[in-house]
Amino acid sequence: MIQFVLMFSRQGKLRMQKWYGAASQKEKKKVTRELITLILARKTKMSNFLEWKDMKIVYKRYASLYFAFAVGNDDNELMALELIHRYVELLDKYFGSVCELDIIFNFDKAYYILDELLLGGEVQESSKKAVLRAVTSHDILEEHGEAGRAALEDIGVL
Amino acid sequence: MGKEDMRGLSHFIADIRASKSKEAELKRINKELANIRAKFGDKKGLTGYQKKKYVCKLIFMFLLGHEVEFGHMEAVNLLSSLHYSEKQMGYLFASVMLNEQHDLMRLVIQAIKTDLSSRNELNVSLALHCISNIGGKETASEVATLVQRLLVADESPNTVKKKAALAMLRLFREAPEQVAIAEYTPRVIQLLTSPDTGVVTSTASLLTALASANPDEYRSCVAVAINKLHRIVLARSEQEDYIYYSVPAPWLTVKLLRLLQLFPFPGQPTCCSRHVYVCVCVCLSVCLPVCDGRPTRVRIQYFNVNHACMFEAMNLIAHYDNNADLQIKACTLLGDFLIHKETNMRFLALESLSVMATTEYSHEAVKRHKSSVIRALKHESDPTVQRRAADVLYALCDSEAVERVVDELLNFLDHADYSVREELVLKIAILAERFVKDYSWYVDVMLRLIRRAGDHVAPEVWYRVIQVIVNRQDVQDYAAKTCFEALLDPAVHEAMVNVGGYVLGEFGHLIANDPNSSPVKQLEVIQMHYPMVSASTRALLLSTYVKLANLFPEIKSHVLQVLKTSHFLKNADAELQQRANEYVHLLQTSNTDVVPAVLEEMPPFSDAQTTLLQRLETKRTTVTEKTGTLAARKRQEGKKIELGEVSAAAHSAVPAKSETTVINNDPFFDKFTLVNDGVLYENPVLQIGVKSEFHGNLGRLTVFYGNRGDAPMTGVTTRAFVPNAPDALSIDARPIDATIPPGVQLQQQINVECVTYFSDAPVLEVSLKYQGRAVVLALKLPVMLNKFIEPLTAPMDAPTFFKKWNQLGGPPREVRQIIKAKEPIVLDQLHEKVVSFGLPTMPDIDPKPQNLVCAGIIHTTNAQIGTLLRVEPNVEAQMIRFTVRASVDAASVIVSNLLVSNF
Repeated sequence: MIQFVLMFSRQGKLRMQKWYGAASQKEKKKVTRELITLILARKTKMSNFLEWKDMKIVYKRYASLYFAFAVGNDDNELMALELIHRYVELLDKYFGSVCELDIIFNFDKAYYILDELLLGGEVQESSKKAVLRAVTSHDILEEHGEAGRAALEDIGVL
Repeated sequence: MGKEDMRGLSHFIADIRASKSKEAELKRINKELANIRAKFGDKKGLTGYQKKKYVCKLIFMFLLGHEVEFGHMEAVNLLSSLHYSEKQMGYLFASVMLNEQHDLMRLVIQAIKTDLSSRNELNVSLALHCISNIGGKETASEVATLVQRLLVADESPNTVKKKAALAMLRLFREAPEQVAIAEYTPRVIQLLTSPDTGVVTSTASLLTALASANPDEYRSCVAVAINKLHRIVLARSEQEDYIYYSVPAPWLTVKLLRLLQLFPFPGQPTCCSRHVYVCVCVCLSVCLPVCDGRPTRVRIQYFNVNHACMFEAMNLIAHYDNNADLQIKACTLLGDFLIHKETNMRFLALESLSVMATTEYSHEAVKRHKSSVIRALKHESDPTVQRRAADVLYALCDSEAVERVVDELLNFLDHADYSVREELVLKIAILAERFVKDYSWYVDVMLRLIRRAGDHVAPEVWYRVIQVIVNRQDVQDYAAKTCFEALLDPAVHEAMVNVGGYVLGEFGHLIANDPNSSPVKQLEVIQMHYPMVSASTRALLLSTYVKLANLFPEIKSHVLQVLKTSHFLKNADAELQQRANEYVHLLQTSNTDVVPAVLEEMPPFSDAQTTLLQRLETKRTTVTEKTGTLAARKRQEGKKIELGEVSAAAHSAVPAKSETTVINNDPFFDKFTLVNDGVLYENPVLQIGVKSEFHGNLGRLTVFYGNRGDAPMTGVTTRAFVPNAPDALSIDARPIDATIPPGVQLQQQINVECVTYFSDAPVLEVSLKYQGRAVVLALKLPVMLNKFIEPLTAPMDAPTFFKKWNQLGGPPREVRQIIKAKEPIVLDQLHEKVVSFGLPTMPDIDPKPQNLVCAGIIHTTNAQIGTLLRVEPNVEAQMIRFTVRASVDAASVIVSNLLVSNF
């Protein structure tokens, strides 16, 4: 199970955090600070895995952003690594070559996309098409209201 | 595409980003907060759009790390908006900013309930997302039934089903008692056959959680999962959307392989076992070009997911541990990965090797990679990888390799990451003791360990060193000499001072004849360290002073002089002051017998179980491992069994885990076949003893529960039953008080009636809570069939015996077993043991005097079972032959097995 997801910049600024278990605000802050420092200190030649407390942190850097998933000790590290990749692909497709600014200004969308990919700490939908279909149908609905709903019903999304 | 609405929001974010300093940012934030507060306070009311915008700003500020103390009500109002995007924003607020204790949760739950019953699929989805994000017991009690219905209802669309499965999973994790999913089990398993891969993946996650809590209930999903796996891996019949870099549904494949690890090998039907092997073979064979790195035109994603499946398949065969060929093949493959170009692969290969090392069939194959692993330990630049290598070395170590392995681990210790040092020290200490051949080597290793890694040496480690030295006479003079030399270094670590102080106090006399380590010099060395150490060490050194003074009269006056200084007699530390005063009086006492008696050499420690393993376990499981797979558990158990060191003390009654722990009393149990009274179970806080007596087919047991801890044990309940044959015994256990206060012993009476013969001892299940942790003890009671044997009323002579013997005849009424004696055969002792087993011997029947002939009757309510036994020991070969003939076939078998397991 994925315990939490962090996204942060090379400068150590937290851009996104998602927790799948209960934790107090104070704990969250402590954990994030500690992990960001640890990960930024790692060299490029090192593995993408970090054993931390009773978890494994699987992380990867894409351009200026770091993505880190905390998974259980028995979880498959490579699949978590590829899940990060899938998420980046989704952001990329949705925003059209995503950059850090897109995520800052549209943080709500970044959360919605993550929710369609991951739910309760487990993979919900690994198909890129299916996730994008779900997210864009929200957008159509938002933009066109009732007319959008009719259009979505026509193409069978609703 | 993202919409460019909420221009105010973009401006605001841009402003924040443009802030030159923390103060400027804070100023901007405060301005915005004041603005939003004013808007929300405005009686005229806001449009939905405005509310959404402000709520979004609040979330943004919160995520930046600022406190947001208002606006919650407005956000919750958005949940019932008719506009999708407003509702969505309301739910985002709830997921990010509210937790289950929040006052507004009731309102949120109401909104969730409304949306769950909505006809609009998107609203249902939002509500399910929110449940998965927030979880919580209260949510569970309100919505679990609704979610369950959505999960299994035929009319639910696939998008809803997969979300419902994961919402269910979150609720189950946090409030399993609220999730009454048992009645839906077959329908949940059925979802694995859905044509929609999204639904199957989510269901597999849900089933993994459900089945790890209750494997028996979900056994039937094994065949379905294997079938699905087979279709993906072999037939590659997968929806196109789910093919990830040419690999069909890798996430699902790995999930299914993990699910299977919760269950034993599917022996039946045979197509299942065949399919599962085939799938594993395919997973192992898809990753050939490893050593030269990957061809550039193939994407790394392709390799990663293939390898993910491969490693998971290896976990599965390690879990089954029944196919030597596959396991050895896996180990060979892993050897290639150890020299892979990518650090990730080397890390994972080491991780898999440490799993493989704990299996029966591949343990040897792992050893072949010893030198590669040592190389990894030495040369890897990533501490995470080095730590894995150390783990593998620990797992593959044996008595042949121990010197090399311990040496490498000691070298590694110097530059290992601080976070792993304590664990490493424990592992070295365990290995050195477990595989020791030469105790002076052990002493060298341990002293080296303590000197080098002093700060990371847990007290248990040096306690253990002292225990071993005290118990091994042959190494004591060497230990004393080495410790003395180590103490000559003024900068030595305090742990070393402790060991040295103790060892010189006990065994300093063994090296006193050497002028270099004369008593005076020993005292000097200890005094040199005294000022630098902590109070507890000082206390230990004080005892060393007085022990030395006892052994060497020539330094007694000097010691007295030292102890009498005001530093000691008026020391602020009460313990030190008391010791000093007592020791001064002891040394000055006129009675010459007292001092040597008090300061006599320590007796050997009762073959104390090492506490090091326990320490290692607690170190590993500092935090609950809720999702631990069977393989992981098996790994740990396997280790324990392999060591033969499952000490009962290691099962502390106060487990680190918060869930209920079940503890058995097997290590205490074996002796009870031959005795009636003793300790049934014991750990540092709880002792359970038993006294029993038997007459005919009746038995009476008194069980004593002693609370040795400092907190009360509450909720104490007991239940007694006979596994496998509930009617064989009728057991009446009297109720017992629900609370055992600290330091108190309670008694419980248990009456047993033997209705018919039985093979398994009855189990007394004791549930209790100690310091908030629930513990269940499953204690075998000392009631075996032999307890109900009584002697014949009249003695038999030889002709009568042989007449009876022949009447009963050979198999199946006869059971004959020949065993190698567990301890050297002494005829008198053998005789006593047979008698205490319950069968009185009869002399002068067998022509050979050493052979024993016995007869007795097993009393049960249903029948009286005549039982004859002949015991023929062979002292030269150290073998014993037992022949049992009883009037009931099954009874012969049971009696024979009881005998065999106790001689």
